[in-house]
Amino acid sequence: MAATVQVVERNGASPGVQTVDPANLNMGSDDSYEIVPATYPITAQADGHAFEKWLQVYVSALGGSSIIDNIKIWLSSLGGGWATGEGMSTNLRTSSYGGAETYADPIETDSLVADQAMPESEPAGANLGIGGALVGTITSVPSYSDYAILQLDVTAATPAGALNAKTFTFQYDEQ
Amino acid sequence: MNDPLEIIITTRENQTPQIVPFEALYQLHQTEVITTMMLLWNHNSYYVSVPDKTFIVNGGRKLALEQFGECEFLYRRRNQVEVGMNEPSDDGGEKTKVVNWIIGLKSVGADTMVLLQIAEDGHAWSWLDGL
Repeated sequence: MAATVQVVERNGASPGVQTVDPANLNMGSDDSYEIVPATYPITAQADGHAFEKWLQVYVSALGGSSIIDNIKIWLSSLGGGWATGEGMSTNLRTSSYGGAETYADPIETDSLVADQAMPESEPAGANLGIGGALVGTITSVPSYSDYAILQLDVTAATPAGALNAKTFTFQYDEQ
Repeated sequence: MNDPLEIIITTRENQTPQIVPFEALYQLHQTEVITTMMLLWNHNSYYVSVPDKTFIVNGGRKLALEQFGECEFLYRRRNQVEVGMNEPSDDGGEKTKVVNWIIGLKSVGADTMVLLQIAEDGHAWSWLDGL
């Protein structure tokens, strides 16, 4: 039996409210889970942003395994590619990791912590820490990873209408 | 999940090999030095020997790692969960899946490693030089 591992999204004013296993990671002008993008569009503008997404990897059962580690998160499908001026920022990184971020109210101005480009292929090593370190491990449950913070960015040149739907892959190892 | 039919472990020279489930590997690894491991699927076998520093896939391919010095055994079961954008808001229940089994050798005291990555169904395999 494999470990039970799910994605958790946290929204709202600190300490926020968590949603386990959101059906989607839609991003827009509202700080909620599973938003309808057409209802909460991002206005094309210079230095435009969706609300930050604060996500964690949540382990509720080890399922006989002893260690969960080596968490990697990346965009595994761009769904047709980036639109003009569209991009995504994150705090995920494989080196010079800044430690665990403390949850703060998600913002829709330029993120103060998501200052890296979101990877579009599997990183060479872990890019999200556990307990503040990329080499951290989960050995008991319930446990959470550090926060992964994502933010969709647009510019004044980004065309109106729906952007291509992307897919995120969350990967971890069991021992 | 498509587990290997058998995970066969040897922990000492001339010891009778043991067949162990994946979940028992960690505890075994804590108490004994794992020297060889073989994964068996229906028509495929994957073998790694720590003392010999060799890999054997289906009885054929073999890789000597003489330059590695002292090695230790390394194993992982790798999982993924995918979450998309613009998916229906009522489905939820994103499921994790095993995507690879990884067995290999890591140089003691260094980050150098050679790993055999085996697909979840046991058929395809490839080499990795890091986790």
